[in-house]
Amino acid sequence: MDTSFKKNLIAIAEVVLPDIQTDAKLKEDFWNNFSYFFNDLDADSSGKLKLLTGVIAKLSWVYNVKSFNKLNVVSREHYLKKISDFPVSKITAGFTGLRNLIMVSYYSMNNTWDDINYDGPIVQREIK
Amino acid sequence: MKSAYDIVIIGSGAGGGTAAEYLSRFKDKGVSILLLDSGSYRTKEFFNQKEKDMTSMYYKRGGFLSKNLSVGVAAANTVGGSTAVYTGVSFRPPSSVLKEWRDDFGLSFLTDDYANSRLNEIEEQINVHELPESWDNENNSLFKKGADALGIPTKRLKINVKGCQQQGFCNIGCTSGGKQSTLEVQVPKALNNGIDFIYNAEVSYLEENKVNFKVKPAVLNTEPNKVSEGDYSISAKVIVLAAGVLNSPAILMRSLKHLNLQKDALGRYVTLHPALNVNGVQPEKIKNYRGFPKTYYIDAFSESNGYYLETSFYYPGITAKNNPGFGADHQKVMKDYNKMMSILILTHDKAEKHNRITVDKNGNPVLEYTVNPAVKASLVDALKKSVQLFFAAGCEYAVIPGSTKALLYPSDLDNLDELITDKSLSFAKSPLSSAHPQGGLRMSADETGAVDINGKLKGSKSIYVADACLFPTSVHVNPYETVMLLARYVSEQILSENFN
Repeated sequence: MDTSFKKNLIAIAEVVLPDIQTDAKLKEDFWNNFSYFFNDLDADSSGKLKLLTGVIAKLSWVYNVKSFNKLNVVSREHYLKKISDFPVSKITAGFTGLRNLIMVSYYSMNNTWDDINYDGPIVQREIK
Repeated sequence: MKSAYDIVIIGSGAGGGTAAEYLSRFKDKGVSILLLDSGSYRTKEFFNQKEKDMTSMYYKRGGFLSKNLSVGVAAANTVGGSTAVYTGVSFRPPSSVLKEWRDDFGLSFLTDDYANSRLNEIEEQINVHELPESWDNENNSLFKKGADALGIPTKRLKINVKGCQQQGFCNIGCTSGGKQSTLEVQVPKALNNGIDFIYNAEVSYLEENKVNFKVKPAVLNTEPNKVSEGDYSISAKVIVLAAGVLNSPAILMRSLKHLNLQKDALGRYVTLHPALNVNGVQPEKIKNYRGFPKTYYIDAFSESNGYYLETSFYYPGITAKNNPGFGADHQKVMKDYNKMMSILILTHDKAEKHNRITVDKNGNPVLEYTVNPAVKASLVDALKKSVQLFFAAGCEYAVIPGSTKALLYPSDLDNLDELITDKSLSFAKSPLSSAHPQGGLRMSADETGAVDINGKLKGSKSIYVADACLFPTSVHVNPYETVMLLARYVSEQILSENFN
């Protein structure tokens, strides 16, 4: 995946999931799991999510007069709240879809389960 | 595999699995049957209750969205179809719905007596019964406690399990095979009766008496293919289409060049049973990810307000998705995962012509669906009722999509009419979900029907339909028993019209 997409996506994910801001290993695991799901999407869906991520980054110049990646976390959060309430429903809905994929990617990782007090499945069976 | 069969059945879910099992009983008449499924063959040994691995059982990993992005449809793409991923909640179709289907759509065969006689047999085969109260996890007990405190009557759900190990999550494959899905019951019986079965078989298009399909590579950790990958064309005296609400209409639309069908009726009148899942947080730990997830429901608001409430509980990723918002507040809520109780809201939507399946330029299904204002009103009412139930059950706070406050507390109870409104509930921010798509190839005697009342596709002499596409309107309840009932009826017609 191209580096600008990864950079923008991680910048969004750090706001959606603050716990990855300070834990490099968790952040890398998240990115790997996100990539696993993302690469499994059909070309149309993955293309739209890439496009949306690019739009979010570009709109940052309009709203913040600054590159999205250069915003601090507080400003990024403030900006993404605006995006999630954007007057164009396709942008709002697209952001919701991206948020959902980020959430599923993160909380389907075994190493997040201790933190939410989930013991994991009873059956211990690895499917590669 | 032969080059010609008497019957080719497309789909092994509630409809196709039932048809395959029933028709295979007549092997003494020399009826040869081929069953096809586009999904991979995952038996219980391939399940592990991890959503990362198991969401591959769903079409587009469960992320199939309507064109306007307001509804996500969780449709199965695995052998056993929806029955491999449902919870096993078993409802007979309500008498009022059967009457509507008889009176308004000409389904005169669908009397209460006919339905009951066939469903008695089907329920016995798949072991439908009420679970003992000792199986209730705390989510279910708390749901009842809250409803009792509010004076709302609850009912116990019937479930089709045998030897259930109460592992918690039925929607990502049953590792013990306790869930009596078509994967565990009807498909093995049909195979035992001598039918042929090809999985990973995606139907490209149909002709009269001919099915054209492609066998795709088997994915890792599923049964290997028994035939070579590639394109196939198989002749059939009868074709039974049971590929589900997304794919059955899409297959026909890809076949229009080869068939003389009533185009305007194809894909129309889709209903979704639109749903929201909401969570409340208890003060103490309540391990709801163990035990059986669903034992109670409320139908007291079905007639008056257009919805059911059912107990439910989901795995972490989907729970995170269902909780609104993001950031620190959302993460804080997720850290209470082991204190959450959960309610599933299921609304009754009307069958409207503009809600339909079409296809994109590649022939893949596209869902065009607009949420009716009446459904939105039902959801707003159901959300408020759920909040009341959470607090009556002792919750400390509730996490509700469509609320103007991120978290609701008992002190908010007097202000629910201001906090949860038609305006505040945005489907762009909180998309609905659907696990019960219905319609699309309506069975009706009138011109709105794509299928006649014997189950035969209008304009075709060899193609029958036997899945949830047939429903003229929403059946209002979890639909799999009704699908099996109609598949059984259509199978009976196939025998009497073609093999007597």
